[in-house]
Amino acid sequence: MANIQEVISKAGRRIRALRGLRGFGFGLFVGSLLALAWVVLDLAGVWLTEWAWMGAVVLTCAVVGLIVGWALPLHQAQVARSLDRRAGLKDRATAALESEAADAEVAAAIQHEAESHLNGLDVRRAYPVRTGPWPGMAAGCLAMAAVGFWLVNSGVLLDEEAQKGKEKLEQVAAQVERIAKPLTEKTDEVDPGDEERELARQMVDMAKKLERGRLNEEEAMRKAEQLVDDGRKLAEKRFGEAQKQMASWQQQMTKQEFQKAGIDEGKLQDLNLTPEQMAMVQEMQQQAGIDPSGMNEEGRFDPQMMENMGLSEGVQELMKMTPEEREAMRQMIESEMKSLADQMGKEGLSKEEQEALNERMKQLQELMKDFQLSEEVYEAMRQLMESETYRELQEMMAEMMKMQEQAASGEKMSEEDLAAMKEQIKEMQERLEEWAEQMQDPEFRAQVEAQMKEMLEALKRGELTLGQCQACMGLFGMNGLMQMPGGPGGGGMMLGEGENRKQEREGELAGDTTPLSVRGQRQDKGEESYVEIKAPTTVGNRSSVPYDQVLPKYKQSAESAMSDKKIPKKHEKRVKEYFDSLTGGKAKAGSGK
Amino acid sequence: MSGIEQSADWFQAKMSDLRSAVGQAVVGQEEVVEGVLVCLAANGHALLEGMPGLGKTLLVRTLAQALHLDFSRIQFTPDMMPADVTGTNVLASDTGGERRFEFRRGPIFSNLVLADEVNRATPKTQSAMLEAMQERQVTVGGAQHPLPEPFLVMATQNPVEQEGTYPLPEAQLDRFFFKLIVPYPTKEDLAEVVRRTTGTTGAEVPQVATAEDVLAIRETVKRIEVPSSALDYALSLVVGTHPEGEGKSPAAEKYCRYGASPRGAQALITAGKVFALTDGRFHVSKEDIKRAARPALRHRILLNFEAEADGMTADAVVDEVVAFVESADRDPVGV
Repeated sequence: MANIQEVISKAGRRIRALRGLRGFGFGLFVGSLLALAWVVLDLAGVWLTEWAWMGAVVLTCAVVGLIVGWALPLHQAQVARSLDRRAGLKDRATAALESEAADAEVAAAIQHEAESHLNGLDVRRAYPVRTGPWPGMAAGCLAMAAVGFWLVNSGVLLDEEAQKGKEKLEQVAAQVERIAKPLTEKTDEVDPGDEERELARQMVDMAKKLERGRLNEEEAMRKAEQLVDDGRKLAEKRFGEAQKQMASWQQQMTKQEFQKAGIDEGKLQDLNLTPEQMAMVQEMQQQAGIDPSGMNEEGRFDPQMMENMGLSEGVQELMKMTPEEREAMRQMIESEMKSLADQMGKEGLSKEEQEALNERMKQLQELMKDFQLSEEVYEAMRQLMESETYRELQEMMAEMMKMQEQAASGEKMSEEDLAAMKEQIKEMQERLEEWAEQMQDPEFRAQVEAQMKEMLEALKRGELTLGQCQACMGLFGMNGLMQMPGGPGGGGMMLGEGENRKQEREGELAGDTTPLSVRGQRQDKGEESYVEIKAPTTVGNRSSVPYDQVLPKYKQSAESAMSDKKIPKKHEKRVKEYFDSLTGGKAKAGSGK
Repeated sequence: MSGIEQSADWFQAKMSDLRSAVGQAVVGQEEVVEGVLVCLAANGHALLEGMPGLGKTLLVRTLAQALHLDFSRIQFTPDMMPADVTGTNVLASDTGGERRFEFRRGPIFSNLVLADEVNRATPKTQSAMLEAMQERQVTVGGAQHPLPEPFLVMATQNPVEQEGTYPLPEAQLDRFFFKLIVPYPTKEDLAEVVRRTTGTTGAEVPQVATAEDVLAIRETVKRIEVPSSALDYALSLVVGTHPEGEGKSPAAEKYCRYGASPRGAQALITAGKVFALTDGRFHVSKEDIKRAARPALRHRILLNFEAEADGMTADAVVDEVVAFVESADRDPVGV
């Protein structure tokens, strides 16, 4: 004879399964509605979607509905009441379940009577599978969503001209997506920040729109320019952060070296030449035949390093000299002092002359004192320069600067460059860690370790930003629209002002798209103005100017800027190196100072 | 087989025997017979309403014969006094010549009392009888006289000839367990009635139960369980007849001046127990309650003018209340 509890449990499982099934249907319907809404948003250009995501939403809702339906609370009393209704048991199951409260004899009779009726009860017949209206409604919504999606994304609704260009747009979209992908993925070495992700998201969004023919050429160009600008700004920001960290660390290391050499900050402050002393130094340099313009040559201290140390301009002048020049300078001072002493020993000097000589002697003595002190500083700096770690850091910084300049100028960083940079970062990290371990002062060591970590993070971010720069560079060279570097006809770059410069390659000349470019500017208040340029090119299918034809013009601009003192002195060397690197060292920046 | 199961079997047998015995004399009227038997088993009184000559008196008399119980009939008239029902103290002298008051029992002192055309008596007389029905005792001259057990009153009233009658007040109607409507017999039943009553042989009613059996039946009925679903259903029906308050039904709100009292819920449950036991169950089901709804509630709801204007009967309102409660009583799992 059937046990009441068993039958109720069996019915409960059946009810849960049916609820799950109904929940699945309902979830399917909700998911389908969401998919339909998504398609509408897609149609409005608010939120682009894909088949996979739509499917995932529908499936997720269905699964959630299934789980919720299955997990809804279900009590035995409910099951019993339901069973009574479904199987026409005249409340036998409920009574049997509640019969414990009755006297034992009646309870037993109720149980016995109920079990005799429950015997042979087919729970599946009492609870047949009924899916309700949801699956049908879900199917309807899904069909509408599918048709809508197909209509708006297949290009069926595009005009003939737009359909012709669709294939190319799809290629461009694939390239943009490929470039944006690394910016969205977190790896052991790279953890993209929010800004990088946002940029990547915008790129992917643009790629999708291109792929589906939702952007015309003008809009694509405008969007590309905006993305390039954003990417450049982000790159500058990241480089700035990395430089700041580098400089900070450099300062720490310098302080450490100075402390070892017994030079504290007080001494450095004392080492501050007065204008008179400065004039004396320049005078003596001239007398000693020391050329101040040649002080940036190899083997001398880096101006940036001295700047970071907080050395005054006069002291920096002293530091720039080579040992030989310093010796010549010392001899000049000593000789001057001797000459003065001889003059002062002579008789017949008027009081004014005596006082002038005394004053001059006093100044020379002060200068000598500062010069000696500067020698200590010089020695400490020399030792610092000889430190392998510091040298590595300097090289790293120079390399980073070079990369920044490359990024700013739109040069594409090769895979080898990227690999080399990663290797460098790794190597640098190891060396810095070794150096940190060797440091004896635990407090300072902890401080430097923290600085190092921050710096390395900044470097990593800088590396990421290069990827963005790559993407931005790729956006520039679109075949009248967007062509990625390395892709068909790639190799162009876009400047923030909207001017289009073209690096000429043979493959680019065979294109057949309509040449088009947009030059625009967005005002602070959101107003936009742009000039559309459509013109056939004489060398190919795109408006382009050979690289080597525009370079002299830019170089000339840079030189005039330097001569007008518009560029800070400490950056002059970089500008010179930059143009040297562009011209392959053929041209010399003769007017670098 | 347990004791309760044996009692149930015995109950079913007895009820079946009683039905058969009554059926020897009363033709048709199964529903009324069933209602009277339920009242007997539930220890409640019945109010029978029907046209004259439909066998009401015969039914009660036959039942008394089948049970071998005392039977009395009171034909109510407007000039009838309470003492005519309950009895009175009379002056009597014993063999020694000493005079004293002696209580002379009225016709109500029987196991089965047929109060014929109870609405023709004055309210004073009606009250005396209805008080005896409720208290199951009579108080005369400061002395209490308990009525015999089992005690069952079956009052009848005529739906026509309302002139010169005193309709029973609602409070007194409430004391009747069931109100049974005695319908006209069908043509076949009428033919059988004519055949039996115009021939030479009268119906022999066998005695199938005793007073003790009736009391045993009532004890068995009390043991039947009421599950929460059935109780909830019964209470919903009673609340559904109320024109105001939570759970009121639209029909009651529209057509009822007053709804059923708690006695209505008690009657539903007790009648449900009898029906359950008759059906061989030891618990009351919603079907049992539903079956008892009309006879137990029809005299407990007071219709308003709108109901009369719309031609609504109490039975129709009860049916609508039942439909309302059933519509709210959905499958709790909803699959």
